[in-house]
Amino acid sequence: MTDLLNNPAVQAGVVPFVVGTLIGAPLARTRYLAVAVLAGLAALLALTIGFSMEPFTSVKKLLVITLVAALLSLGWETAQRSLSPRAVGVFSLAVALAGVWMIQRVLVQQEARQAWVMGGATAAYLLVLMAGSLATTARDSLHAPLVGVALGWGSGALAVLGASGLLGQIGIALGTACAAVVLVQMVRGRVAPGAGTWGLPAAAGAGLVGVLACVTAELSWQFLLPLLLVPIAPALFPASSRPLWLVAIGKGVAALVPAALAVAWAYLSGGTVSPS
Amino acid sequence: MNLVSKTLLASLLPLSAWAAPTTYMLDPTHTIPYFAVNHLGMSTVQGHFERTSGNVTLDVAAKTGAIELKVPTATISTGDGKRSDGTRSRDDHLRSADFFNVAEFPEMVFKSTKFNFKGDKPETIEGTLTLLGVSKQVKLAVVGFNCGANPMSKQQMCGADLAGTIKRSDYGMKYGVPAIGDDIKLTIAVEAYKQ
Repeated sequence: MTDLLNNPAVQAGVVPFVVGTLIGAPLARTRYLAVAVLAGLAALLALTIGFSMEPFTSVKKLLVITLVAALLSLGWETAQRSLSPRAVGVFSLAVALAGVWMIQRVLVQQEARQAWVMGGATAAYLLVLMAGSLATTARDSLHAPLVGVALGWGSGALAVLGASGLLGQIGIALGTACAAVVLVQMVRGRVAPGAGTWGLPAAAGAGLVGVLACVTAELSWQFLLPLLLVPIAPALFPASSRPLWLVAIGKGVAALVPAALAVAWAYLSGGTVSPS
Repeated sequence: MNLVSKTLLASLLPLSAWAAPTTYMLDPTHTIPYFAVNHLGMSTVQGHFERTSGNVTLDVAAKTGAIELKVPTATISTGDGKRSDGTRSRDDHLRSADFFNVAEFPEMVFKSTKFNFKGDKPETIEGTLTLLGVSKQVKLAVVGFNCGANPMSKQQMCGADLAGTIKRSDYGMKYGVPAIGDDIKLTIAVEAYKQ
């Protein structure tokens, strides 16, 4: 059993999926599905690096930002407020600035021009990604986790190709926990209520994984660009009156297309890694 | 001065070198931190850091000393560096946030707090190792301490191997434990020239 739980694929894939499903199932009628996503991520951390915040590295900051995003989502859903364009803008800007804070220790070691470019690119990428994710998932509790799946898996795979197994596991765990949330809705045959903000922690976490894979590992920035299309890709599959499970699969595949393109591009450019 | 006095004085001359604190500058090409870590319970991966800087102060008479080593973590090398096909290597992985996180923490530092002598030679060195921004006390054994003239340059030098073991998880480097060992054996080859 210990050997199984030490397997990186089990840590990032199986366990977050099982935990996300067990937590998500009773929450499927509520607005609090963000808890299931958070639980899946927590399960990964319990099996890998633990919950200690020392040293307070950029990875720990990523986890804190993701936690805060989840708490914001829970608070917003509790208040039962809809996600207005202004709220989308504020949340997106907050994540963008948090991303710059996350890489602050790296920025201060750069020359001024390089720091501005790195910080600006980080903020711009996260701003666009979050705005797209929140704007397209507002009031759609199926669209939100589908975007989370594609962003999580895409960022995670890119991080692995960029030579960071830990960042890869974090991204994949986020995506897999979102997949569990999709599954519980498919089984129930009904979309969960809510403003869709609980896509916020998954999108934020996945976006930050991509940034860190570029800043602290060997991923090149350009491979993140196709991920900006993930939030809008599910719209290519019209929902109409199709059964929920078919809509979920169709939109899910559509969301995964740009993520798969990003990963294929990175892989074909020589970004593979062998086990250490 | 008679012959006995001259002989006695001559025999004391080498010891005069020890009478006061003497500063030595580390030879970067011969001061190399090596490490060894168990991999999957199967074999030992060995590596080193290719550049080190620092200085040593030694006062044999007073039986004190000080050493400071600064190691750029990006110079880590385990024999799997750049690959011709462009794929990511083990050294790339070790430089990432999973392990040494060189982008955030470009340097690790060992700074001694106490030299323990046995006779005229240091036996152990206690100090602080700072890695990933975390500082912990470590104790290193001094193996093979020796001083003399470099046979080619004739410059006075001293050298030794500093040996010890740390747990990388103590410094927050937890990725891969226990598949990739937590215990890291350190051997720091040190050569330094008298200033």
